[in-house]
Amino acid sequence: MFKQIWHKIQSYGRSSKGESLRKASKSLKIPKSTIWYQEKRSEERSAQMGTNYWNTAKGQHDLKRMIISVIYTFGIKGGAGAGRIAEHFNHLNFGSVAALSQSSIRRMIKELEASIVWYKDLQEAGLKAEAVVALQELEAILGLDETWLDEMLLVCLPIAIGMSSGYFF
Amino acid sequence: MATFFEETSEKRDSESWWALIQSRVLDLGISVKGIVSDRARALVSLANAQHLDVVSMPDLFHLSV
Repeated sequence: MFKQIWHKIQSYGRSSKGESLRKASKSLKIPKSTIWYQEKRSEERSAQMGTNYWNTAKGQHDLKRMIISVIYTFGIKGGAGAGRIAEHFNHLNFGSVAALSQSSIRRMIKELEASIVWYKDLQEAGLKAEAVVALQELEAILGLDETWLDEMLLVCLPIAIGMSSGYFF
Repeated sequence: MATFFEETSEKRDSESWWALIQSRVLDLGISVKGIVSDRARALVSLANAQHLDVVSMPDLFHLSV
């Protein structure tokens, strides 16, 4: 909801058009006070960061990419905690352009981990579907036996595999 | 050598084998033409009409290393 309003105000670009708050409010159907507050926050962010880049659509995209990259590389692969990552972003002064508290980062780590598991499931489902197509023509003679390591293992080997065309190997 | 599966199991009865063969061999679309085993009862029964309905062959040299 707030994100949509923020995007609406940002993409409208009232100040570059030189429009009054009243006129922009009428066009956007957003209260004047909200537009004024969001623009003021945006100016503050730009002043703090020394650039307006992070308020642009490209800047927002790059910001998300950078945050996810840091969380993935250092949080998930490197094992750095949410507190350490929040500290890193704080050093870079990104706290003013994105919600990067320790709890926000912990939530993002969990979301990213869930997405990785989901991606793995999708990939495996795709591979299985491909395997079904590739293996449908195969015929096999199975060698079966059990063996023991720490636990009992049931083992199944292809003694011979052949194509339905008659080719065996 | 490639394997179809190598799975830990508490039991070695025909149903434990059958569940693995279904999910790891038959579900891939592979057609089984025969099985080779040490003639254990559970393995021989896999070849019967209730399961694979194929020929069951004894292995020639059953070695334990």
